Amino acid sequence: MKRLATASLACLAWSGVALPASAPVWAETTPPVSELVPPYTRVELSNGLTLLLMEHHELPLVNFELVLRSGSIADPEGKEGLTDLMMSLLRKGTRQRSAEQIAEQLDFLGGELELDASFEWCGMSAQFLAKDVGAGLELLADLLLHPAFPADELRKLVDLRVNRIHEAKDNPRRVIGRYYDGFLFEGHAFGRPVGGTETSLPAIKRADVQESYSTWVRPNNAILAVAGDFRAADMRSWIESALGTWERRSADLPRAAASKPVRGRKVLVVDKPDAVQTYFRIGNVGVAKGHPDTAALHVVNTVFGGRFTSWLQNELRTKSGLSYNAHSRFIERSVPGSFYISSFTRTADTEKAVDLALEVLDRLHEKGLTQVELESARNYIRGQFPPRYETAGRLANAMAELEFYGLDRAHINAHTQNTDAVTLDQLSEVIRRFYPRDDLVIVLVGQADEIKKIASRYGDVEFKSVSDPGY
Amino acid sequence: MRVRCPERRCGGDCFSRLARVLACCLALLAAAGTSQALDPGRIQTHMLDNGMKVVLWPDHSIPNLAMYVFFRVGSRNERPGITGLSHFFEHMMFLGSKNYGPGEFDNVMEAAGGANNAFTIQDITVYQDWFPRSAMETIFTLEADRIASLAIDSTSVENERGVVTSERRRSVEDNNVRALDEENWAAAYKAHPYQWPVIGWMVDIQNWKIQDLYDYFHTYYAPNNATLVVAGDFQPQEILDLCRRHLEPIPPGPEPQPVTTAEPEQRGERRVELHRQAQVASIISSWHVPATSHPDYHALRVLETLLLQGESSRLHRRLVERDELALRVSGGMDFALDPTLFQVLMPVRGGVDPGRCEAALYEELDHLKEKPPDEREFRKAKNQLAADFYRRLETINGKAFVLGFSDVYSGDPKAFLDVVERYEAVTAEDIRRVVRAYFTKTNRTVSTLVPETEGAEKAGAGASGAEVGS
Repeated sequence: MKRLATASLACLAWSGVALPASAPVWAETTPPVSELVPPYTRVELSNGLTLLLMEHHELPLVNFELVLRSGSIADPEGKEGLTDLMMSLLRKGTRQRSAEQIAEQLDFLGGELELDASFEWCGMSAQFLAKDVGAGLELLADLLLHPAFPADELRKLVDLRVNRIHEAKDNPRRVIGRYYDGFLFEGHAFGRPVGGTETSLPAIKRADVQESYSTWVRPNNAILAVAGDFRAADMRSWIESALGTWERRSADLPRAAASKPVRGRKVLVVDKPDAVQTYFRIGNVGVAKGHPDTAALHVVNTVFGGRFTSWLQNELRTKSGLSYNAHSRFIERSVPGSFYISSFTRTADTEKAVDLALEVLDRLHEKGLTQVELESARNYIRGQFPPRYETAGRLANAMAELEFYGLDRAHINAHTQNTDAVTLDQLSEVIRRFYPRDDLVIVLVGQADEIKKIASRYGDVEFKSVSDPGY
Repeated sequence: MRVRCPERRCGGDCFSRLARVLACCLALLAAAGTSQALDPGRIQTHMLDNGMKVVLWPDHSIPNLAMYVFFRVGSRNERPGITGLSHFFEHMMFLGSKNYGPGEFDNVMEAAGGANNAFTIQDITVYQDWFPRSAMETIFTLEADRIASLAIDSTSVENERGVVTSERRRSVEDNNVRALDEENWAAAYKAHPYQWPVIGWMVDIQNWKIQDLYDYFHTYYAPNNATLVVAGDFQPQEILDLCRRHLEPIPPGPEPQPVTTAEPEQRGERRVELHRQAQVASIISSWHVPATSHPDYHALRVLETLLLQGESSRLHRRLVERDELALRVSGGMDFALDPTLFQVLMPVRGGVDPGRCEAALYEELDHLKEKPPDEREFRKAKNQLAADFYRRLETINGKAFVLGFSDVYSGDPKAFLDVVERYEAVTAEDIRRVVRAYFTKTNRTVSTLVPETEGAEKAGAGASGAEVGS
């Protein structure tokens, strides 16, 4: 029996834990944290499709993750939501299959299929039982290569989505992120909602959808990551035959413009007259994916607002009872995405909670982290990192993401080692550079009548109402 | 490229749906017999001298463990005046024990690389720890200390009261669907404790006394009222040694009083309205159905799949696609120790009379009373249950869930091994029989969310809310 004393939990003890030698009786070995993403095959097919293959035989499942290099940033002005809508319509009819037939065949296989878009990419995730992978792949290929975009399905889906926006606006938690992005990235593509608005969706015509499809859903623009219970050579030939006729077409890929932090402070109050709490986000523009300070920033944010004992959670929840939750996050994109602090509290405590969040932010700058906190965060990251890569589906996702951002396996596999190397000086530098203090965007969703005075203490205030279209 | 939710120590709402989904995963373990990872021969069950059951499932795919402690106490064990106490108590379990002061449990666990959460549902409270191998000793020390000697600090109680009221405001007062769900259970039950929400009524949250918490701890938190489940990167002997040293010395307690209240049969439709500011109306229709231990359970699960699972399901096809009445249809039934509800939730499209949604729903059920599903549709439902089963066992979390729920609801953590045969044994005729038996008008409770504009609500106006067009 092997057991590690709690005293040896510092980073260096780790490397011994997962080695087979430490547990000779095991029938199988456990991958070390430096090999969470194992090697995989990368090939480019003749039509330009980048194919990533990883065998993973734990369960009889196969996962497909298709990522296309275009997203809502390519949506025309006034037609926000086009890319997302186009992707969703892929399952609503092909030359040979009606929407009902597609749904029935997918469910008959016990398959799962998600189609969606983000700002810089759109994609398809699917999972099938290994025994059904032939039928599953044939279905996916039909959706990708031969969509019919029936006019009636477009009308239905637009109507449904507009209704779902109304529904989402009945719940402040579901929409605060969209108001925050819209206000923070005003004038930038990240400020335009991926899913569109009550007014932009009805403006989308079938011809827009077809053009979006024929421009962006192209193999030379696509990454297909497959992980699961198959032999790589077989999968490659299945995919070549299923997607070999998919024709390439060149188009200038949309690129997100540089995103610039907001200067000074500005405040948005979104009126939801019956809300009993105020939901708020505070932040600014953050960092880009793959930036060299990833490890140091992960350490700082773990301590500041990334785990249960974080400073934010400790002050706003544990010590004061003001809120059920407070946290902070960086959204990384190819150019800097958002950074935010997020929490909520009953209307009467709005000022107290916002002040406290700002105070904790000030303290981060004034005090920085201690050596004890640095070590605690390292252990936490090392301990909580492996489950992110536990399943074949998550590994397919990781392969696609690495390829999309032009990163290699080391971005993930060396991450814990990188956090081990981080010093207190680096942390101070990261806090100074990436945590805004004076330049802040603040968004409050709640009863405007009750909180507008408070809001004006923090900067110039703009007002919106959840019943206004858009965000 | 998807993002995970950071929510922690949620109330019942976040996870009751998960429990429902998990039912699907109890489907086909037997079919997975050839798979190395799912080899059910690896599952071990042990009984400690103090009556705590220990269930182990080694899995070495990542250097981590998932450890769940299932206590057989939930809102079902409450009474008027202390509703929500089980969930509040779940929060208190993190706030101090003999050797770890307030906040120390989390600090020590996270510094060792571990993370935790917990949830409460109607029947049980579950504590979850996720940690690397290197933290095993620490985790057992922490868990044993709070089970053996919880120390309730009065300042922590008051702060946590604020936390839980904020949780309730967020998840019920500012959430129309949850508020409507609360109305539905409260109307469907008159006698049995399922009538109140897991998070509790606000007035009760504000009035518990510290003595109520101690009483609860001594009554329900004895080792003989718990099952410990561990899945992940360990050898069984390592965990058993830790159990013997840390958990076995904790003395057993008396058996808690059984819940004897049974809900009387409902003899007529019940309808309730909830008027709130909203842009979208919603309906929840529900029917009383038996507990998980009842012989009709498996037929009801297959029915749930036929009606609600996937875009080809009967209710999605009819209400969302063909008639364009609802924004979505969701629902089903939770695992339950006592007779529970089979619910269907339908947010209504703008401009649609909610009555049309209801009528279409009942018509679909009537079809099944007359004509059972054909062979292909029936096979489809069973295939969906089978595939979901594998999906839920992909992670060590999923494995810990399945073992724990199986133990709580059948008394045997490995009971799910023959569930496949039980689903296969369900016939199309069974479906027709259970629809006829349970989905009747007199057994039905319908709650409707009536949207109101701000002015109307302040003026106290009743009638129908403004329909929202686009």
